[in-house]
Amino acid sequence: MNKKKKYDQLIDQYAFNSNSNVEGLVFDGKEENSLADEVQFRKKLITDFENNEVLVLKQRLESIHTAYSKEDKKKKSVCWRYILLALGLGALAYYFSSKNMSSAPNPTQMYAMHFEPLKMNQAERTIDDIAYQSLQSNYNAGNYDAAIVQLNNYLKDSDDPQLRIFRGICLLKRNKISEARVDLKQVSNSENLFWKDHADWYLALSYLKTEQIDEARQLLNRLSIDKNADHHMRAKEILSEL
Amino acid sequence: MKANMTYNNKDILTLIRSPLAKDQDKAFMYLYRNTYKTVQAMITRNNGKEEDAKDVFQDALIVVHKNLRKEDFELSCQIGTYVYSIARNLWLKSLRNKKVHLNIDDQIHDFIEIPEDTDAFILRAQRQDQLENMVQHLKGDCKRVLKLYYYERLKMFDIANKMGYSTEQVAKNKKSSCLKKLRHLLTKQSILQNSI
Repeated sequence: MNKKKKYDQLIDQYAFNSNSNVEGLVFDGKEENSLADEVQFRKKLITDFENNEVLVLKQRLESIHTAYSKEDKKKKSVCWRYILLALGLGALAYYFSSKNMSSAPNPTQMYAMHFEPLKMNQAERTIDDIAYQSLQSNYNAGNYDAAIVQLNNYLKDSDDPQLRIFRGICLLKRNKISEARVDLKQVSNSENLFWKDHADWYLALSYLKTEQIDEARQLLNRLSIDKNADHHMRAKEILSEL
Repeated sequence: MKANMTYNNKDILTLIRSPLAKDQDKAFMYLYRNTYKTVQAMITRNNGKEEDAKDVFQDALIVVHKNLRKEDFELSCQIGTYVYSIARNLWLKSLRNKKVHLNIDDQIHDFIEIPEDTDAFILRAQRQDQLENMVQHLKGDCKRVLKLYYYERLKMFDIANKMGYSTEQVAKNKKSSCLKKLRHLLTKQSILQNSI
């Protein structure tokens, strides 16, 4: 029986023991060079099997990695799709809500919707002359420039709140807002309670036109609280929209 | 394998120890889905690139595969923690080799201490020139028998059963003759190479 066969098991034991060195390998109390060489050979074989297995596993893991990356990409793209869908829905919601919001009139539009010149014949008037009839017809016909000239003449010598209101309305119509406000504020600050409501109403509309919401709201609040005030209902309506 | 499938340690052990590559791959895919991102984060936050993360994670899985297949191996923590700890160790060694000194941010994941020689074989495998690998000279039953004995570390009785040999002695003889053949082949080759 040759030595390798005799010591086969022992050689394998040494080979499996990764700590065993070539020196110190004893076979029946003797160091055998040829057997130590065989241990090294088998040790190398074990290592090579391990390395080979690493290679094989690496190849398998490479394809698993590819499959995982694809799956992850798909998951991310599905995730992105959901994000995009959510963004789309958000944009739609925003579009519709802003559309609804834009369907509520802005202050300037409110001015246009609610501004209606006070009819001159409706006004209580004691002046009874031809000049006044001309003013009345110019004003009611919308000839505001001519009406302003005539009103200027009247207001040179008097401080008639009614005429100031009409001039304020004419000036608003001609887009001379600050000049209109001077007339309207004068009536608003006066003791004349009858014309004060009209003055406040047109002043409030002038503020809506220039989008000075707080100023407009203050005047409209007074008209909406006083149930007997002129323009009470319309003031409430505008306040609910503001 | 469904993406939402959950495995516990025992399931992973069973899959990794299965002789079927298909089962083992299920476990690998599960570990990819549940641990890869954490390992990737640990590496990319610590001087590494995504490619490094891929290599380290794969090496960690190979170490896990080897250790879990040992019959006496006991998993003392969650499998994810084990994979992460091995990957962390491998990355620390790689940084050390590159002479980069970093303290890994351990807020990412729990980890356990890994014995020093656990991953030695993988580092050895990275260094080895495949042309020197003896296994490439083995074929057929010789390759199978020697692998079962030296790599799988099965007993001769089990090898005989697996190979369909009538007795344990047949397996022993096969192993001896295969070793002899391999040695002879390598000697012949080395003589040939020296003569060239």
